[in-house]
Amino acid sequence: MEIELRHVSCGYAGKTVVTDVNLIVRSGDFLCLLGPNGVGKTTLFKSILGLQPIIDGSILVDGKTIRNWSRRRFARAVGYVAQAHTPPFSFKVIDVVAMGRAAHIGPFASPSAHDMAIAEEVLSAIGLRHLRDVAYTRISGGERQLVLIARALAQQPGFLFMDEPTSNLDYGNQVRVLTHILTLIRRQGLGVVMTTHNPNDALLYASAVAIMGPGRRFITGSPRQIITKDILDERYRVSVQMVPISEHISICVPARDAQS
Amino acid sequence: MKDADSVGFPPRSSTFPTLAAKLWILAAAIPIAVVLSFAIGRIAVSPTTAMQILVSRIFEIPKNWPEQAETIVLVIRLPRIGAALLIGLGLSAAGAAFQGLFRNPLVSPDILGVSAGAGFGASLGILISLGPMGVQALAFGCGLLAVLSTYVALRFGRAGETALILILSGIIIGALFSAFISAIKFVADPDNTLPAITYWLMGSLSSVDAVDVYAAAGPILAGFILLMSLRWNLNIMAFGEGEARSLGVNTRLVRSAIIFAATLMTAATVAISGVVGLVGLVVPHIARAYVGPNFSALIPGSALLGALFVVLMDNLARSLFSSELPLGVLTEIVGAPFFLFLLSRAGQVWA
Repeated sequence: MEIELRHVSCGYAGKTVVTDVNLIVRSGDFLCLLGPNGVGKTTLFKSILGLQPIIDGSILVDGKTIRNWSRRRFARAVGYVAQAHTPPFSFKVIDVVAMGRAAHIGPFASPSAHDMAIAEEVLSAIGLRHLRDVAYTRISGGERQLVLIARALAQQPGFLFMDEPTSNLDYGNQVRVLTHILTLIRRQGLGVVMTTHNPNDALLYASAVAIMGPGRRFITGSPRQIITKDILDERYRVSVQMVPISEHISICVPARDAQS
Repeated sequence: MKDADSVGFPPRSSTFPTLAAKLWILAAAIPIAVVLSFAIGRIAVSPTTAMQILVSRIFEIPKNWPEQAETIVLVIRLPRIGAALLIGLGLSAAGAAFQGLFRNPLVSPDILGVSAGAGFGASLGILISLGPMGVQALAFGCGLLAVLSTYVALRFGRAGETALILILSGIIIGALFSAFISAIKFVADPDNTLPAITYWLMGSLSSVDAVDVYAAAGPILAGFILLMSLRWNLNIMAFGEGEARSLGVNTRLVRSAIIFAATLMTAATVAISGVVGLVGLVVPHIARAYVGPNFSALIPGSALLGALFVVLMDNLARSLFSSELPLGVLTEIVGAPFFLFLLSRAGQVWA
């Protein structure tokens, strides 16, 4: 599968936040989207997901425009993992995961035994079977993020869009969530697009990187092309240095002089 | 129970009794409450006699009870119990649905102005001496009209139909219709029309007859069937608009259908009984504590518990004092402290 953005501009009524984004993501890709706060990463995500209208350009799935697709049809192609949050009612973890089946069920029906079997399966696959009957409101932030990923997997989409899935997690959970995402890409051939504030996530895990704003072109490339001292310094207005950790991989850290 | 299986409560669940069993326990309690209710009231009729009278309507059995008992059971208590069941079911299921839709456990079924609208319709009907059927029809119609106004009011703005905007709009429309009620009371004849309006607004089943029950049963049961079919999607709506849409839910359709169903049910209950307060707010909480927050079980659970609750409250209303207490007054007096108690342990129920 392939999802393509052609000259997409988006924003709110009267104010264009993001202009002329061109992007192709294929099955098996892991694209990290970087950019300083306020450059419109979330706006771009919401527009791709159809939660707000795009101002210009088009979005295509396998070469076909999605403009007239129903919510159900789109949700079968693209799943969305929101940042973990607390709902007003304490649903069981398994019930939250089962909600991922909505796109396959329809507004006037309930999940069948088949739907529940899929929910059970993805919950096991993500290693949270032991939390099955626990209230979603009582589990940790990292577990909650994994439950939301499981819910998106129960949706059985070709692509997953994740909005800062690691931002509220402790270090261990960040690593665990990212490792899970990699496994999903390798095993199931999902295409994943993820926003992150950590350039090293992109260097260590991603197959491609896109960086946005502020006030500059949307550029894409391989992690080593994009996560460079020059680009990071310019986009984030800080000074970083690249430190090699092996023959092929460098990570970025704040430059020495900036630390003093 | 086939329904509960299909929504993910396998019988091997670690908790006992299972959810399905809990719903069956509620369902089984209702006939018991109903049989007892036939015996309660000013004139004593034993439950056995009441059952014999009911059975005699279907089968030929020897008659060994006074004519008066038959009148009381069939003409007075049967429609009254039927109305209590319907009102409890309607208000509680509608309340549970709105709490999920608006993602707020403090919402009641009249949040969009339906009760104020229906109260206005009834007051107007009484003012222009429409007669009981006319008053009910006008109450029902104005209840629907109030919610429609809430909905249409949003079309003029650009704010969109977010839950908060809908609630605020509903509160304003409710206040507007309450002002209309006050205006009608102000011009009403203080010797007969005004007391009739005031008494109607308190909420009572004392003048309910069989025709009322038939009239209300249609919209209440139709709304209930619609809510039952939407109940699983209510879980998703409780996660918020954006998330529900990204999961593939047609939120506009689901939200409109839920509002339509709940409004139909609430307007019909208010039309035959007046405002029976707090039932739609309190009962869903008790039901949530018993069957859990999943709407697949909570909608039927609230409906059954609500039916039970109102039947029992109506028994108290007609037996507690020598003269009958309006049902709405009683449900609020009983419901308020109960709700405060629930609030005090809110952390366990919601968080």
